[in-house]
Amino acid sequence: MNWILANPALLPLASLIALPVLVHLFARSRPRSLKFSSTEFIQKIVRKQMNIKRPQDWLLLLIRTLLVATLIAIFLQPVLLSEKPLTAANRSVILIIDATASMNYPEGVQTRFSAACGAASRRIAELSQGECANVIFLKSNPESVFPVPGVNTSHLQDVLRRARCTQETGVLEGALSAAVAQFGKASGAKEIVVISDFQASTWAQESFAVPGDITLTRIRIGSGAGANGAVTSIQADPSQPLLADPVNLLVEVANYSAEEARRTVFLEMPDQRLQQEITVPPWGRATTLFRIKATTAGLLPVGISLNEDVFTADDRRWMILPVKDHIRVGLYAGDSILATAWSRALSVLPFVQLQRLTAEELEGDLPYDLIFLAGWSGEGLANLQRQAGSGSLSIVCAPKPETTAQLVSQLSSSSGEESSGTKSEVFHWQSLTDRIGAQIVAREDRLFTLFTKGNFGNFSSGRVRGHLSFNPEAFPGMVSLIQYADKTPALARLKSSGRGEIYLWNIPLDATQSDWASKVEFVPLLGELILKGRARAGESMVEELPPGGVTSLKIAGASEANRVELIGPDKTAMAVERSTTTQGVRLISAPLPTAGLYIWKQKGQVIGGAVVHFPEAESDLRLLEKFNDGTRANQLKTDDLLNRPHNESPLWPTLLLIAVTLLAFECAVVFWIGRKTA
Amino acid sequence: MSATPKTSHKYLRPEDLAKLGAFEFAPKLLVEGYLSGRHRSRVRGASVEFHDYRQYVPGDDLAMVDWRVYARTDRHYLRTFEQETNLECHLMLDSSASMGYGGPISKLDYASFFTAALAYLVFRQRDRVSLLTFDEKIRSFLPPSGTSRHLNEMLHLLENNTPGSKTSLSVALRKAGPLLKRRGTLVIVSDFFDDPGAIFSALSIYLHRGFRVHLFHILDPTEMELPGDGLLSYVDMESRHRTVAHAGDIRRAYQTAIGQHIENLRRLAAAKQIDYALARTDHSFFNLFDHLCDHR
Repeated sequence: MNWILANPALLPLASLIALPVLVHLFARSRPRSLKFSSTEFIQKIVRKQMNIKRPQDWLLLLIRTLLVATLIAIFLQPVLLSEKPLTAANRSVILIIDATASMNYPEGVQTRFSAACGAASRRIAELSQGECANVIFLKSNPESVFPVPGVNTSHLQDVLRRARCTQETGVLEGALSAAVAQFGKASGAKEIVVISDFQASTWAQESFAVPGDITLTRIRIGSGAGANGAVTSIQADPSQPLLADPVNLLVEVANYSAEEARRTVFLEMPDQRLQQEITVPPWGRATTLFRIKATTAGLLPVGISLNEDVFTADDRRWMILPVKDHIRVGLYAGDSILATAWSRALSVLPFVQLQRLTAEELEGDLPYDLIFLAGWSGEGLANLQRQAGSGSLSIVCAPKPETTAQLVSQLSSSSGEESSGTKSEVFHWQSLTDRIGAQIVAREDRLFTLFTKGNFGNFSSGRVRGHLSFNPEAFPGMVSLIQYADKTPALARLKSSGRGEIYLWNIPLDATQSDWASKVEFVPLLGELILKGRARAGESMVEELPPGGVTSLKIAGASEANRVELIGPDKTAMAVERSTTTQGVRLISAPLPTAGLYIWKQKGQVIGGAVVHFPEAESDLRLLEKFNDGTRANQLKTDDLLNRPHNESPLWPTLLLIAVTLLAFECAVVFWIGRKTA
Repeated sequence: MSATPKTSHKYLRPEDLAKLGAFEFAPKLLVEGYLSGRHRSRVRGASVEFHDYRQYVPGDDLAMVDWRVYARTDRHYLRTFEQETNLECHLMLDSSASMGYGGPISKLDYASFFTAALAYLVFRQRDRVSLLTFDEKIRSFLPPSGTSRHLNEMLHLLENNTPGSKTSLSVALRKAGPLLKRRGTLVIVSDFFDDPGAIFSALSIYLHRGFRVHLFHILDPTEMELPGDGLLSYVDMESRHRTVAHAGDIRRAYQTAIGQHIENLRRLAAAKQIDYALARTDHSFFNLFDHLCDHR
């Protein structure tokens, strides 16, 4: 047995239930004071009377509270829902109303969603006595008004009047399953009515599969393809820039109309506002580039918006750019001479935070942008391969002599992928009779931009007495960057994914074998290698969510967690649920309803965030021409469907009777008390 | 010694003095005094009024021996006579906080008027009078005297007297015992908000010493009815304790309770042959002198 309120808008009236209690307390607590010579006799009398009076007071208070509660309930109009299966004579209708983002599109004086609610309301109004109805709003988690179809149609209409569209995508299958489950074992006529714009991008593949005893009706809202433009993506390169690094922001704009669109793209940052014009082809996309420079380290909110069109919800997009003030570099010292030379050179670079690593540490989590492997012979291969493959790590590998080329090659291949190098190919140490120099062979490579003008030295001045010799064919796709006079690569890029890169280092730094470490160009070369070659993608502190998603944040201490708040797009603090775990406190937001930037702040400092993106599929407002069962989408008219029953069994008469009875009882008690006092 | 005090005192007005001319206050029982006077005393001595015979003991005045009895019985008996002496009147005035209650005249004012008039009456008869004010302890004490200066001091004390703290008549009576050295008449003016049993237990000592005791129970008329209407927070003037009650609900029970309290006092007073009078502040205090005269 369930019950619902037909008039929940008056629910605040429920607070009036406290009125009798307040009157009781107020009347007791503030009587007029009167000085009296001695209250000894009064006290005795009051003590004597209290034993009789108190139960009378409580009884009166109880009756009066019940009376007020009943009167409130009459206004709230509760309705009892029976869980009895529907009889054969009954019909039941479940209306699935599309509440996804595209339904926000305004057509004429109202949005598609308002029109859908209006159609549903008219459909419900036509129900006759004995018929039940229910409404399910189609969104990421379908929301049903009643647990089962009920007769309280006035409540359904009230809900429809107050319903708001979401920015979520919908799951029709879930809504249909819920509707079918609600029919249960009912034997009467069953009907599911789906009211939507039947947007082509999201409904084309829907099958509308329902059991044979259920009639499915589709009502289309919307009259045609709405012209729309949307910001569909923002990409930052590098994704985790260093402080004062130039950052390229690639903004993609889509045009969902048959005409070429000229749009203005705005970029908003805390201290910058830029704009660019962009021309987007019909039904196409265009990309524009913003070059920005972060002036403060931390999480930098960036907003991109278009000049507004009719459908505004997708005209904005956000990202949070994590700006670093240092680069984390790991150094594995399998070859102590090489490692020492690297370490000495890296220590003079102010933006480098260097950490020495052991072979065991190579097996664990590697929160570094780049790792130097000095004298590597396969330690932590699987872990390095995995992290480099994900783009979160770049590697500069100087293999140990006699290391197989296959091992080094595997660094640059994805996990589980067979490397092309053969087991027989190894790195041999080759001593040279004469010292030889090296030259840049890929002059246009970004690694050497600094050296092109000759301000930072000349690579050809460095000489070596020996180097590792290997077969370059063992590394297909290898790009030789610096090459010795004997054509052996001194520095080569084995893999360039655009995010994490693998470099092969073949320059000895032992003073007996090479004078490279003492050359002026050595430190700038390492610096450029770190800046240009570091991983472009790292562990993000920012979640990207669809509307309706939930973001969370872990905080170590309970007291710190109390100072954290989630600020929504409208700059107000949002409700956050706190749950204590063994690792600290986990803050979980309520479902984030609209697209925008949600920032976790602690004492005014940004410590995390979530970006809720408008679902791209919902931006294309073209309507479906045909369903996949061949039915034309606009075949059904709303007018064909408005012809059904109506019934109500409200509780207010019973409540009124209870109220009158309570009133009579109250009068009787007052009379009884009066007589007793007299 | 002048027989008329200065009449600028608050509690002894000229018109009151005129009215007091018609009254005379004299003890019913025999009193102890240092002057031979108009009041009968248990001290035997030279007088004309025969009291009794008693056997001669060495040291007795031989002049008092009744020789005719000796002639008949061959034993020495002395004739004793009742000696008339002056009255010593002790006035005890309750000055507790509860005595400040009442309007237009407070109980303390009313009691002070009565006490002043009574003191004057005693003084006018050339008797000695003492004044003791108390609440839960003795607040002030003027020892017995019959001078006009003493009367003025007494009136001055009454004028400066203000309501004090809690009432405890029984404690005050016990503490006053050593101060009242000579027996006489004890007049207690109070609202008697104390346990009647304890009061009369304390009074027993005085009765045993031969004091004649008069109790004047001063009450405001509203104290007999219960003031106020509706829900009220009654604040006790002595304890500051608040009691919330609906006046209408408890009035009848209150009247019964105060009536019982008065009746208890009256009954216990009668049992111990103590004079008791209830004085309402809306009635003239001269009625109390009528009462005193009736009980001489």
